[in-house]
This record gives sequence, C-alpha cells and structure tokens, in this order.
Amino acid sequence: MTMSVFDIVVLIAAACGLAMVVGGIWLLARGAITLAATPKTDALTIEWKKQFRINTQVPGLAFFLVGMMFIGLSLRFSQPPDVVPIEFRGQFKGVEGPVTVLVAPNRWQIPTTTSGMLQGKVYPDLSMLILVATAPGYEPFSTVVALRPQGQRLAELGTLELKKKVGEIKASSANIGAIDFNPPDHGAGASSFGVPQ
Amino acid sequence: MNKPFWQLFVAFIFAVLACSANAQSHPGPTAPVQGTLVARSNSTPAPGLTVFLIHPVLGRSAPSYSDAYGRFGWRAIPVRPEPYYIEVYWGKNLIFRQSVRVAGPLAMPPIFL
Repeated sequence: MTMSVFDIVVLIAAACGLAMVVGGIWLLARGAITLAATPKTDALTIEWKKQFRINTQVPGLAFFLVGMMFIGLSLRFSQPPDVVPIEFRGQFKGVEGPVTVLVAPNRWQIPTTTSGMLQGKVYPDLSMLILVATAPGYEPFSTVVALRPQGQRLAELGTLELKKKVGEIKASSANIGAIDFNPPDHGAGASSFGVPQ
Repeated sequence: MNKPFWQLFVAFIFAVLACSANAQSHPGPTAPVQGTLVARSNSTPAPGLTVFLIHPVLGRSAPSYSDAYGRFGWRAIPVRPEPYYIEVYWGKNLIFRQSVRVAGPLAMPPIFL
C-alpha cells in the first residue's frame, strides 16, 4: 500500500484524536479530570504571549471534543474525491446484434533524457478520448471524442454506422474443444488477467 | 514525558512509515499473445468477435476484440506451465475453443472459423 505524505498526516491526526478520546476516558477513570464544571479558579487556561487565551471550566469535555474534532477532520480529508462521470450519447444504425463500445484516453507521453533516465510526471488528461464500437462481423468503428475541459462532460456522437463484413458464424461442435474445469462466466467485470491490445 | 511513551511513539511512527513503503507485486514473467480470426466461408478476416483466454488457475482474461483485419491479442499474459484455452464468441455464443500454451511471446497461426 503506497501512502502519500498527506495520507500519513491524516493518519497521525486520527491517531492523535483517538489518543485524546481514549486518554480522556482513562483520566476520567483515574479521577484526574471530571466532566463536571470546575470553579473558575481551577479552570484550564491556555495563554500565548498574552494575546491569545483559551480557558474552559470543563476540561474533561474539552478532551473529548478536541479529540473528536481531530477524528472528524481526518475522516473528512481521507474521503476519496468524487469521480466526475463522462456521458456519451449516440445511435447505431443498421447493426444486427450486440454492439460493444470501448473508450480509452489518448496516450500520455513521459519525457525521457538522453542519458537514458526515465523521470517524469503524467497529468492525466481526459479531454481527448478514443472510442471504438464493434459488433460481431462488423468492421470496428473508431472515432476521437473531444471533451470540454470545464463544465458538463458530455460527448454527442450522433448516428454511427458500422460496415458489415462477415455473416454470422454458427457454432460447430468440431470447433469447440472440451475442458476439464469451469471457467468464470464472461460477464462484465469477471476478467482477472491480461491487457488487450 | 517518560521513556516508554517516546518508545511507543517512535514505534508508531515506524509502523506508519512501513505502511507507506512501496509494496510492489512480483507477478512473474508475462508474454504478448496475438492471433488472427478468419471466416472459413470466404477466407476473409472476421472482425468484431470477442476472444478470451481461460486458465484453470487464473480464470478468465480481459476480452480482446478482433479488429478490421481479424487481429486480436493481449500485452501481458502470465507465462504458466498449464495450458490456456482460447475461446471465441459471436456475441454471447461460443463458436470456438482450443488449447494453447503460453511459454513466451506467442503469435498463433490463423484460426479458421
């Protein structure tokens, strides 16, 4: 698991919050602090250069509240960013059978140096996408889709026509070899290896 | 603060840093696999067909779709001693299955359907 510095800071903050909450419970059990309000003379005061001052008459509650605040902020900042969907609209004309549509971003190039070192950054850019529509027996149709960098990510494709090349090929028992195991069904998301060209 | 606290704190920091260390997987050697589909009826390339590799241990590969020239392939198929099976589908109908061994980069002979 690879963690960035930000992730480490968030984890430490969560651990500090947890320590404050657990520590407060432990101090309560020891009797060192109480949840009841203390007299003003016993109030917990934090002062910095006589310019900044915080005091509380319920230090027990302060432990819990500050600890919960740390935990809450850690949860908030550890949330994964929302993924913005890209919407596609179009219509296929004159295609018999199921159509498979694949979308992939354009290739990103990583700069290399003349000394053979590879060190560069890629800023994923989804403004140009390559869309390929394919159906059994039809020549695949490919097009480049340009998206606006800001605002609604919508690709209007219009009417797409695929050229038929081969008539349906029927299954023949002679072409289907036997296997001695049950492979996973070929539904969407069932693949576990291989990157198609 | 006392010594045990600092020891615990340092141990905690090391545990966090250990989690941040790169944990790269070592999947073993892989090889590209390529092939071509041809319609037996008129000896023309068969485009738009779905091709899978299946393996008794690894399961099912990502699908590859034959292009306008009937070509299909994968970039990184794990090299395994057990044979794979190549499956070709017309839509959802299985029309071809044959065993194939991947011991290195593989360019299969044309498959006549």
